[in-house]
Amino acid sequence: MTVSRQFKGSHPILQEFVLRCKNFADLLYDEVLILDRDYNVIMANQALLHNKGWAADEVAGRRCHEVSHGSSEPCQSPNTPCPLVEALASGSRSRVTHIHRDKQGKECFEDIAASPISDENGNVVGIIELMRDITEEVELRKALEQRNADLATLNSIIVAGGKGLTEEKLLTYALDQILENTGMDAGWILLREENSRSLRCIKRLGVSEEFIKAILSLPTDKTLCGLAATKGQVAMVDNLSQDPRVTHPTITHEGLRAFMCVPLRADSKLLGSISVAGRDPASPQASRLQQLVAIGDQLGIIVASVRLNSSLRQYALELEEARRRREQSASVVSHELKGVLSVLSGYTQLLRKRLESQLPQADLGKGLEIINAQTNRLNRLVDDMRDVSAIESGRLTLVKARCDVVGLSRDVIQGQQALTQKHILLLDSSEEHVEGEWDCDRIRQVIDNLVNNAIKYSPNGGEVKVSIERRKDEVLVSVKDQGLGIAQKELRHLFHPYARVHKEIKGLGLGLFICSGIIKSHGGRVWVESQEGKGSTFYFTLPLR
Amino acid sequence: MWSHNSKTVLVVDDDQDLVSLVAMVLESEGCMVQSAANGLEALEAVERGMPDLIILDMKMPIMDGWEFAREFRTRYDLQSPIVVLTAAADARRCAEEIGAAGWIGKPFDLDTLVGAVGRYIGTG
Repeated sequence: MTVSRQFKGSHPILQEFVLRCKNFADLLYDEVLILDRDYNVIMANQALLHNKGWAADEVAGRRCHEVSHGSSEPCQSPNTPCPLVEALASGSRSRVTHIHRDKQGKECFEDIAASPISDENGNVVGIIELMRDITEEVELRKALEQRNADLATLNSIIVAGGKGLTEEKLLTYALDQILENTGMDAGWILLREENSRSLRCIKRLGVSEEFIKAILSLPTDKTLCGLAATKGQVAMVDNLSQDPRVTHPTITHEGLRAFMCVPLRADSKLLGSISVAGRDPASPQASRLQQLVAIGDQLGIIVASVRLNSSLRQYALELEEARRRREQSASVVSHELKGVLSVLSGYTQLLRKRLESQLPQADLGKGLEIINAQTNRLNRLVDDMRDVSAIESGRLTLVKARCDVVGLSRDVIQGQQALTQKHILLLDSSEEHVEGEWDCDRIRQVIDNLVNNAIKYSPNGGEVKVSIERRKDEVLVSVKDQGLGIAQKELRHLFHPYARVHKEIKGLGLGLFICSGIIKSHGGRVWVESQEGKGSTFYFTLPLR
Repeated sequence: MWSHNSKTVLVVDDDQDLVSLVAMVLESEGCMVQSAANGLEALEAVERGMPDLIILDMKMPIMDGWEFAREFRTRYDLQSPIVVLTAAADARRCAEEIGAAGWIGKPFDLDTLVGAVGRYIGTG
């Protein structure tokens, strides 16, 4: 307990108050300070001297802000109003939490209660301050608040995961939340490509595209985010731009300092990595890294489930599509067959009637011709359906022999040109012969089908060009027309059985499926490029060896 | 057997061979037969002159039987009967849907065709 030299000159009421409580004040753990109206320290108790590191004679004559704040000026922060000023002005008690400093300048949080000391007329003559160090409670509360914010971030990511977002949208949302939670300026998420060692960036925030390109240009084991994505390593760096491991100039120029990086993991499978960085020199804290690791683990599981979900949805769509096609195919086939049968049976009946009736039999020949043509059509239908079923079950048998694709194309063009005057059929090949071991009849069937389609889908005529180009190990054949073309959305189903693009043009929609099956069973590839209204080009390759 | 040179029948089907067959059969019964390869051609034919009967396939390119029937009903007050001639499994339902007078399933018996035509143009 120390009483200052101002004591003697102070108000008698204040002097009386100090004398009354001085013995009692030293019994308290809380710090006690009695001040006059000018903030001069009149009395300080033992707890205050001990806690703040002052000797008894040092406090005497100082003002309150020197003792509790280590400051020569009165404190005037608008966010933390001075309880003494309040108590003096209002004549009532005031309570706040302040950051106080001891004599060495060490900060602590203090709970301060200031009460005015008044004379019999209610005039404030001084103030008594009770102060308690609550640093531990404040730190604990801060940690709890941070933990709560961390949980809220994790929770919001989990909730987003259940909303059926796409992988990209989910990760974008998560990165946003992570940056908000960690208070970092920049972040990026890298994902491992399926069946490959390379990485791709699905989202970047606050960093340049060049920076990400520079990271991706390095081997995965030469970058911290690469090591996180491929080896599951966690990294925390105080100053990324000055880290000896970082040598790429584009990466150092980005000016990032505090940096953390964790794997994005679903159980034991590494899906990628999450990186966050700040331009501020403040060091990242270990507790933030732990939180980021937890997010990486949770987010990984969500991403894996989103992927599973999307592949299940895709699978369900394909199943539904296959079911729909099967249903449609049954109806298309039976319709086609009944059409043929009604003509066959009709003409047969007609011929019988004519023969029985002894009427003029001039149209008998035409009837027989039609019966013959329809029988051929029926035969082709049955062939196509047999091919489809053989291809679908993987049992298409090939009879391979030496075979020239240029010669086959020439034959097909000659045959088809005889049937149309509206179209000009051309062959473009720099070589007389391009030979391989293929099933000649099947390859002829493919070229014939593609040329026939090109004609059929160019109702206004035009050029149909078959081009043949020898490449290293294969020959590339293309059939180009100037016809109707195919809409983008139809292209995906084009090689499916019973796919029909232009419904006004007759057909079962089996041709392209059969062509594709024949080419694939030769080890070749088949594809199409098309623009609606401009025409289509169908390509296929056949291996030369 | 009936014979009315004045009776016209419009046969609408995208199968040219089938149209020829129906035409041959009905012409030998004394009908005038017009043909159309789809609904649109059929509407053009009706525009030139209302037939006494329309034999209508349902599944056709460009304009199918359903669309033709809808257009036909909205365009004309005086309507000739329609007989549906279809390979669809539910020929009867097709006929009901478009308010046709009757239906014949493919493949069909020539006598059934002749009988139906006679019945619907009132000469049977």
